[in-house]
Amino acid sequence: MNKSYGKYILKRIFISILVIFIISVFVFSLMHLIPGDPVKIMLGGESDEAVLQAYREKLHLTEPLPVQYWLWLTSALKGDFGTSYALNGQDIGTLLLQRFPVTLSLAVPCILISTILGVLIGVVCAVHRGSAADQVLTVLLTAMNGVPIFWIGIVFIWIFGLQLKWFPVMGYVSPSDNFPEFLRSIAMPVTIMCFGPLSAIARQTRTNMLEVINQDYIRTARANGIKDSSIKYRHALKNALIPIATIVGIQFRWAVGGSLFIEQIFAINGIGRTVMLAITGRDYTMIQACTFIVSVFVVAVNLLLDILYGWLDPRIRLAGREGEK
Amino acid sequence: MSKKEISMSNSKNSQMRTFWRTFFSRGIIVKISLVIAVVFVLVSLLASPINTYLLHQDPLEVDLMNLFADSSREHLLGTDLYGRDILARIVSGAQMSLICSVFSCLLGAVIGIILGLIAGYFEGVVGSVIMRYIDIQMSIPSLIFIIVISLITGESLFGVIMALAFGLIPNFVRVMYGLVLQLKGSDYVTASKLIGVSEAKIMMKHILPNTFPSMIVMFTMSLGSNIMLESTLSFLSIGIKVPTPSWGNMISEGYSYIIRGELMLSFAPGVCLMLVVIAFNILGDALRDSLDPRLRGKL
Repeated sequence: MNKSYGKYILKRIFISILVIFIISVFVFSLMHLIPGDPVKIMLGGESDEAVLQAYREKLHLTEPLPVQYWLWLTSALKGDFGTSYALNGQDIGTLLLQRFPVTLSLAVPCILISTILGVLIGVVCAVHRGSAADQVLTVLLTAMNGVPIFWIGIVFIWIFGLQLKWFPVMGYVSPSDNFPEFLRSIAMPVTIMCFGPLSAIARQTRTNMLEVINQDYIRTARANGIKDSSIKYRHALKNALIPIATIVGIQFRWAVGGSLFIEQIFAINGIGRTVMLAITGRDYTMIQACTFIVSVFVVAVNLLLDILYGWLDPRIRLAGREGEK
Repeated sequence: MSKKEISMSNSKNSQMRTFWRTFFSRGIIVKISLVIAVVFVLVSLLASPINTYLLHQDPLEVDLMNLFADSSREHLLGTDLYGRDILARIVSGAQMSLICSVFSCLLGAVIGIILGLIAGYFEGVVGSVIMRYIDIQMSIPSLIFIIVISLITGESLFGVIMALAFGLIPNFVRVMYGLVLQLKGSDYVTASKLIGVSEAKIMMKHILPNTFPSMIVMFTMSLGSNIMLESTLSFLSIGIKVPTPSWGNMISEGYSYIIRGELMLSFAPGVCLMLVVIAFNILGDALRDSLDPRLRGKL
């Protein structure tokens, strides 16, 4: 059993590394498809051709694409992403190191809250299927899933920031500086970020729960006279929760992507705002670095969840072994 | 009419009845959503006649003597920071949303359905190449991916449509792939193969039509999500550029003025956007329940 799990983990790690490699090629090629000469944009249109050429050579832009890719990849793996010209020549590596934790401090609480609340709501809906509570909650969840997040952000700022003055309108306080203020500063952004993931997780839990309740072993348990609540919460819930691991992974990707406009609205200097800055400033090296780092991160989270998934559900890792035969 | 035809038309009728009953089973909320969606589509299609003959306003006309005007007979929702009529801009913005959303969904759906069909039917090398590509696109947060695509295609209406379409492809491919795998294993496909029906015919005549209910459901839901994505892009000033009105750039232009108490600028387009997106989602849910209950929880 343990051996097969080890094999499963190794296989997952191998696939993830492959995916990261392909993503790096993909991101690199995408950047080169964007029209316009990056050097001209960097130095302004009126620069001398000789200066432009010198810069191109300095940035290896005159080399063939595979060579450029190789140079980029090898330095990226060492943590050297070059310097950002949209942010006055700051080192992109150190910048990302400062800003990524900020985004994480929004995304992690968001996923935790969404998972816990989402599972709770999903279970309540499934157990009381068809009741008024279920109907209201289902419509509410559908609405939450669809509502434009940036607009809700603005409404929240107006209600809770400007009218009630409960939370700061914008800005971010680092948790190491002042923890209570940190909580106040992330309260609104995190709540809004939760909308999508919460709705998706709750709806998935509800569906899974309903599916599991209809299965034979639940009927058998019921026929054996096991208490109804014990069936629902011990037997059914345990199995209904397993597929949730996958959807949490998908939501993590969403939360990191959602930070793009959440950080923009609340003026938080995380990775999302950095990406926006890079895009509006046409800072290709930085867009490239951010996209790559974020994607690698998403792949890593999904790898961890896959490992957890295999541990929770022996069928997954055993299926993997059968597939190899 | 022969007996057989009568019974067939009866069963068709009862099928339709069941369809509508399930469709409206969630009560009033579905009806309200239907009304919102119909009004949205009509307003978008008739945007310029509505602005010229009904409102007598030009969404682009700047009136510097009349900035931030309150609601009046002339300007039903007041005017914005350049004195332009907000209602007229919302009407034109609706048209922009519909154009972007419908065309990007059509493009994304067609490409996604074809790729999913090929990947599911042939599996093997072609199938795994397509599915691995989808995995890779799915590991890049979709908003970042869409933004990069819109930079590549140029920041224009065309660029936004292309970017949104690209962002949609994985969703269609994945659902389509699953459906095709399922259908391929069914008895009638095996039977058609045994009697020597060609692969192309099986794909086009026996498998493809059976995926339509699910694809229609996905399409409706994508309409809503792409309306939202278009406005998100415009809000981040990557999509539709000012002065062309779009709900996203209207919200973006107006939101710094909420501190001054000028709520209408961003709240009016925001409320419209929210209502339309939620309406399409609820309609998508209702359609799914009546067309293809198997998809419950998957979409």
